[in-house]
Amino acid sequence: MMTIFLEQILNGISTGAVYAIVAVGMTMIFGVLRAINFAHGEYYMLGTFGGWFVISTIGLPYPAAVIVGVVVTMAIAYVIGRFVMQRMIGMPEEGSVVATLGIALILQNTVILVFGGGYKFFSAGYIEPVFFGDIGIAQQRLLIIALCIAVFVGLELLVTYSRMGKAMRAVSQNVEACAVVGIDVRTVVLSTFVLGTGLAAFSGILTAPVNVSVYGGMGEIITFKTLPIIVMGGLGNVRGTLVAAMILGIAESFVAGNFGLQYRDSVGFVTLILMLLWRPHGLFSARARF
Amino acid sequence: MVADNTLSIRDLRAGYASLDILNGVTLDIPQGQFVALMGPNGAGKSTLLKTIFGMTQHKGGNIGWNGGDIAGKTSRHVLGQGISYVPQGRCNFPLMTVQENLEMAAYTIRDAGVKSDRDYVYDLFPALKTRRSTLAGNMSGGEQQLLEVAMAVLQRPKLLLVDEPSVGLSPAAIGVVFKELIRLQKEGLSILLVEQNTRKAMEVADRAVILRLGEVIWDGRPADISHDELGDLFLTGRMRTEHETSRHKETLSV
Repeated sequence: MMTIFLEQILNGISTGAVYAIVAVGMTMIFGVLRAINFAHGEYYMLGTFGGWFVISTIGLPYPAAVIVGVVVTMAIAYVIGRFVMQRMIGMPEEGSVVATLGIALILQNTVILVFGGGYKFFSAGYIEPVFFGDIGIAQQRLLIIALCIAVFVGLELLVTYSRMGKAMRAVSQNVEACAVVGIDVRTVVLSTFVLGTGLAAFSGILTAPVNVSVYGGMGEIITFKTLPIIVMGGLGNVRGTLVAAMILGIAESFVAGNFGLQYRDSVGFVTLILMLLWRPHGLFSARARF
Repeated sequence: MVADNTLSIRDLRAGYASLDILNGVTLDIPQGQFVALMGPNGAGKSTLLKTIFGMTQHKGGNIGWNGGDIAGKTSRHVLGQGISYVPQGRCNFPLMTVQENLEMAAYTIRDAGVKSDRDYVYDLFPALKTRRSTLAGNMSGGEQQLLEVAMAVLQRPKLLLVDEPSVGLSPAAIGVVFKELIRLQKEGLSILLVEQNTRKAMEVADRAVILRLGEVIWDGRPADISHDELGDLFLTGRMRTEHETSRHKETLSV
C-alpha cells in the first residue's frame, strides 16, 4: 500500500516537472506580453516531432535529438515572434487570443499535412526502471525531475543576474519605465518568447519516451493543462508555477491511480474552475512576480 | 560638428494620431538653465516633454540638439543623446529593489563607470542608500520620486525633462525633490520642468515659459510676472490692459 502511494507521488512529481517546464515558459511570456499564448502546447508538439523525426530518419542518438528538437522549435518561434508576437505589444487582449489560436491551428495542421495524422512511435530515451527498495521508476522520469530542477535554478539565475533576465522582469513590471530607461521592449518580448517556447519543446522531448506516442494534436491538451497551472501559480510568477505544476502532477497521479485514468485530465479543469472562483490571482500573493 | 547643448525647438507640431496638441512651439533652452513650463490643463506641457523624448507622433518642425535634429526620433535614440525623462506618476520597477532599479536605469550604459556613478548617486541621495535593499513599490511616494530622479541622473543626461514631480507628495517631500533638482542644475544640467505648483516652480526656475493651446504665450524671468498676471495668462491667454485693470477695480469697489 505504502509502495503504491510512494510510486504515485514520484510519478506525480515527474509529471509535475514536465508541466512545470512547459508552464514556466507560458507564464514568462504572459509576464512580458500580458497575453496568453494559446499556441504554447504546439511548441511542445513541434519539439517532440523534431526529436522524433531525426531519431526515426537518421537515427540520431536521443541527447542530440533533444537539442535538434529544441533548436528547430526556437527557430520557428523566432520567425513567429518577429511577425506576430512583437505586434501584440500594447494591443488589446482579444487580438492576442485570436492570433495565438490561429498560430496553434496553423502549426498543428501543417505538421499533420507533412507527417500525416496518425500516431508515431517514439522509441528512444531511458525507459529502464530503477528500483529504490520496492519502488520502481523509469530512469527517464528521474532525468525529467533532475532537468526540471536545473531549468528552474537556471531561470532564477537568469532573471536575477543577467542583463536580459533583469530586462524581462522590468518589462513585466512597468513597460513605460522601460521606455524611460531605454530597454527595447520588442527585443525583450522576442527573447522571452523564444526562450519560453524552447522550454515547451524541451519538455515535450523529455516526456516523449514516457508517453511513447507522437501526433499532431498532442499540444492541445498541454495548452489546456498549462492554463490552470499558471493561474494557480499566479500569472507571471515563476516560482509559483513550479509549486502549482507539482500540485497538479501529483493530484493527477492520485486520481488516475485511485479513481481511474479516465478522470485524470479532468483534474486540471476542475482546478481551473475552483481557482477562478476562489483565488483568481493565484495561490500566492498577487504581487509576487518574477 | 560642434556639440551644442542648447535645445532649440522650432515650430514644433505634435500630438496623438489625429489629435494635434502642439501647434508650433518655438523655444530655446541654453545649457544649465532651469526652465519651468507652465500653463492651464490641456496646454500641451506634458506632450511637449513627451515629444522631446520621442513618445508622441511628430507632425512637423524640429528639435535641434547636439548639432542634430532629434524630432521624431525614438526614445532610445534621444536617451542616447543625453536627454533623460522623469514622467508624471510612478515610473519605476515596483518589485525590484532600489539597487536593482538603479541598475536598470543605467541599462543603456555599458562601461566601467556605472558602479562609481551609482556610488555618486547614493552620495547625492543618502535617503536611497539606506533603502537600497527595499522594494521600490514599498517606499513612500516621495522616496519613489527621488528614486526616479536618481534613475534619470544615472543616465548621465545633459538635459533633464521632469513632469510634475510634486503630484501626490507631502510638502516636505516636495521640498526634498526640488532641492535635489536645484543641486543638479548647479552641477551643469539643464532642466525643463512641468509643474502645476506654480508658486514652487517660479521659486526655483531661472525662467518661466507659459504654454496655452499648444503655443508659447509668455517667456521670461519669474520675477517679471506676478501671480495675478499668471492667472490671467492661464485663463485668457493674455494679460489685462491697464484700462481693464482699472475697470476691474471699479467693479470691485462698487
